[in-house]
Amino acid sequence: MATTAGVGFSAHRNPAEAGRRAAADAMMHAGTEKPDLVIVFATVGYDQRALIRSIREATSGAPLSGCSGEGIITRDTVAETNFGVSVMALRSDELRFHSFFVTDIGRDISKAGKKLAADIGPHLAADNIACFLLADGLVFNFDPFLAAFQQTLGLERPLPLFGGLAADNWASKKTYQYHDDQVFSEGISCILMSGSGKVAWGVNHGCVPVGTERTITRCSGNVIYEIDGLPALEALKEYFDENWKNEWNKTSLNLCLGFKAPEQFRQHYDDYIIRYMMGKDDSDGHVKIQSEVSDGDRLWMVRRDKELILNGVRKISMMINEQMGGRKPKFVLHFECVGRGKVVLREQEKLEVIRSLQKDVGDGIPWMGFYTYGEIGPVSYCNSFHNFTSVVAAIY
Amino acid sequence: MSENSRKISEGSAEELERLRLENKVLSQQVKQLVRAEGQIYEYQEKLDRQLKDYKDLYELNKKLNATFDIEKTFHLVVEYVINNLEYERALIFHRIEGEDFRVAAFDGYYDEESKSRVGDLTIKPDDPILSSMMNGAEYIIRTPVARDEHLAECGSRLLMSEYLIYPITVDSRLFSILVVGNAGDNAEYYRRVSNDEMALLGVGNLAELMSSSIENHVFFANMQKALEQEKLAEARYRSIFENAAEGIFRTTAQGRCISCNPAAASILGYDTEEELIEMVPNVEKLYVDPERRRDLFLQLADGTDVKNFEVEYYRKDGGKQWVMLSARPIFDDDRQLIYLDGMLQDISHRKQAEEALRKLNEELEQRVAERTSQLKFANDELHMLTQNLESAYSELKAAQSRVLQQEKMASIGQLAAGVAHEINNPVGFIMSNLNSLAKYVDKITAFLTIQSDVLDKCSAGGDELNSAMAAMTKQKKALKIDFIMEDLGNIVKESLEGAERVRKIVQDLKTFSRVDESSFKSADINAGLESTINIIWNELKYKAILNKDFGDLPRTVCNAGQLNQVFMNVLVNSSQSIETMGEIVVKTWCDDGKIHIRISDTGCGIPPEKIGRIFEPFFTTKEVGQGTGLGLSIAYDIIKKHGGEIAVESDVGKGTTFTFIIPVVNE
Repeated sequence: MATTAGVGFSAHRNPAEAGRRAAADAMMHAGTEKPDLVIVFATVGYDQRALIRSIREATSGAPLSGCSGEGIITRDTVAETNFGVSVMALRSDELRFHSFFVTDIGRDISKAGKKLAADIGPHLAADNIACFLLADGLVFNFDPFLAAFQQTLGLERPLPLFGGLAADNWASKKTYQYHDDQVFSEGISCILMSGSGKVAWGVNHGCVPVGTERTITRCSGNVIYEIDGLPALEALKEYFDENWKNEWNKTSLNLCLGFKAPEQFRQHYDDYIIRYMMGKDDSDGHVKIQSEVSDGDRLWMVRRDKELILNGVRKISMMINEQMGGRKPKFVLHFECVGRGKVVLREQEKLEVIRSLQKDVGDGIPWMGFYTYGEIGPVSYCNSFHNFTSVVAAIY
Repeated sequence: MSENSRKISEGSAEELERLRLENKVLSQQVKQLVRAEGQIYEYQEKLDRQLKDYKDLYELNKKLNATFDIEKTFHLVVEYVINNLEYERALIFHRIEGEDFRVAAFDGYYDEESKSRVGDLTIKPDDPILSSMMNGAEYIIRTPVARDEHLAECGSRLLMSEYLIYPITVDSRLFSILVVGNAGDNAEYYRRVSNDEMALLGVGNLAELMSSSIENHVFFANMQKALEQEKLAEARYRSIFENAAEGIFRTTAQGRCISCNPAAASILGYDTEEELIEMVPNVEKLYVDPERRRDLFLQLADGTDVKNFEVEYYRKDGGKQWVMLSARPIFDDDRQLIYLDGMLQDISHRKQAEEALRKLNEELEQRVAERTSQLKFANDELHMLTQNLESAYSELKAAQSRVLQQEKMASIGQLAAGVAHEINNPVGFIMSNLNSLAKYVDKITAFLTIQSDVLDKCSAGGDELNSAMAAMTKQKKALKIDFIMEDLGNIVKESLEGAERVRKIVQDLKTFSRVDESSFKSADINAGLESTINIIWNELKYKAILNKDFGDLPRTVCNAGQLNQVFMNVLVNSSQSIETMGEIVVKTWCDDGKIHIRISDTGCGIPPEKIGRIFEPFFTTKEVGQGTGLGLSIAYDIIKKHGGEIAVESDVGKGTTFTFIIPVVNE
């Protein structure tokens, strides 16, 4: 049997019906009524509990992991909508799946990293392939999480981490993570994949620096208070349009921050690591990003570039195909930044980008992903956090 | 510094300044570019959304055009509202002429309770929510911030906190109502209801498309209906033409038959209409009398229709055929006759019938004369029969009267036996007393004679007196004068009592029979009952203990004698139904202006199969010779004559209860 995977999608407005249909399609395509694992990506218009309940019923209570996204990507559908759900049903006698979750990550992300690693600990084995993290995109801070997680695991060679941050379609109120019957926020849903298989991946963004180099002159953790001695917002506002205070989400998508990538990243990635400014404070003019910075860090204003995005996905497929050496993936998980969706690309362009990527990686492969508030994918075997990036993991 | 170096240095500084300025300009341009790019992305997103809306609307239009089912149209529209316009909920109300607007389709209500609630919604045509639309309002909107109470109330019925209502008009008539909106809990993920032009455009376009689509549907439906009616009419007329019993035809003015129906061919003996057309090139040849055709055409030439024109035609086999013709001339613009449309009816049967009728009339007249004579004879016989019947009826009445008399006699016989017994006793001991009294009188007379002698000798005194006194004393003893004097009072008293009993019986008999009173008179029912019981006491006393429970009864106008006869019949029946000693209870009371008399016994009862017949004349449960079978029948008649009712309940082996209810009639 090896591994079978099937993906189902529904945009039905009734959460119970949507969940049931997506799950039924997934199981039909996977050729199983008893999946080993069910992965769910859904958008936030639905009553999340009703949705997950219907999927659990339809999949006979198979282990479930997932999160909310701004949109759904499958082989047949690229839907940035408030109402879409995709289900991937997996059954394998060569791969093992263990699912975990932690909550309250907003309060203490390091503690969450330690707890998750502690939960994973008993399942560590030589054949661990990768770990998929689906975390709340409104409160996640990658760097302290990673430090605590990796330190607790204590592995010589880090476990590859892939994933995306859950989104809530620009409402910036609440994202959702799913674990079995549970639907929660401010948490991480996690899948440890082990067994006889490998993961090939590609990571690429499509941004280009504009203007001159800037320097962070005051910061704390993931909060940047001053740039070049000016309140951060003051330093940036020349690039914003008139309504930037009220439409921060859109504004911060058009302009983001680029930090010089470590030397070892540049060959397989790019000169810059991109950071989305997920929050701001008008009172003291600070901005907040999803990883940590230090005083004196150099940064550049960067903007998205369609041409680079298109070229970037070609690089991703090339990287994956190169790693697989002509083998065919069993399934693909795809984490695409929300900033690379309809806010920058026309509907048709977006479809062409995704279709081109899917075609290059291989026709007919079960493929599921979502539009994220942040992406996780290793660069040069170093687990990294990204924004405005596409992370594609092909399991073969 | 050499001049050259200074020049170079100055050049570099200028170049640096130029580059700095250039950098500044470029930096500004980049900032502008970034801002412009942001706006472009925003416009692009809006444009994409608009394009999607129009594309979706176009697709919907195609779907709507592909169906002429109004219900499917409604479902496509609500589905579009939910999936494409991205409102949470959609409802369509539709009105069938003369009724309220009712929900014809809805979507976005997923739990059973809300489905059930909206499914039952109605809007009355005079609902204030419709009045503004009736007055030409393009739409009604309730935004989340609206404060209008009526709109809020309407929203709670629609299960929407924000909504848009669009009228769907067809030929200026409010045909349906489209409602779109959101419930509120999760509204931010749906298209918000707002006054924004772009937001209204989507649903406005849909409402217009829906109106136009429904107009097309209505037009198409009407057209289809008209076509169907036309087809039906054609089929109907074709069927009438083909199946008519009358022959229908069209000929030219020259006499060539253009078309005819199967009946026309059949009437004239042809197998098919084609055969008739082929074999009769000119209908002139059909006329037995060619003059009749000329008469026909003379009438038609006036332009008037000809009706009921009787004419004889030749049949295919050469035989003759009477037909009745109705024809209509058709003229061209020059008033020239071009066609003749006609209808012919086979009247050969009628003609035969007319002949037969004529003959029959003659026969009938003859038969009427014969019959009249027979009837006269029969009438005489009938007269005699009637006389016989009247005579028989009189005899029957006499017989009935005799039977009644017989019953009366039976009653009287029964009565007489009882009365005789009752009178015999007192009369017996009165007679005995009178005998004793006669003896006493003889003895007293003898003693008085002795006393008289003694009195005569009183004047003599002496021994003679003493001897007389002794003899008198002796005789007084011998004659038992003291006993007689003592017994005399008892005998008289007893005799008087006996006489009183006889008087009482006679009085009761009188009361019972009321022979001296007119038939209807005010009477006391209890007294009647009392006397009846006394009269038949001899009959009762050996069979039953009689318990009387008489209530206070008002006097009522009645035929007391007849009622007593009723009571007697029932009481006697009761006593006869008791084999050994039983109980008879007679109870009376007055209730609601009616006197109730209930006579219950503990007798053998009446079997259920017989109880329905006990009031039939001559029906009796007694042995032959024991009863006439008229007692209860007469009782029934008497009670009915008094406007009363009789009820009878009986339980075999336990007893029978008769209840008589007589209305109180005041004088």
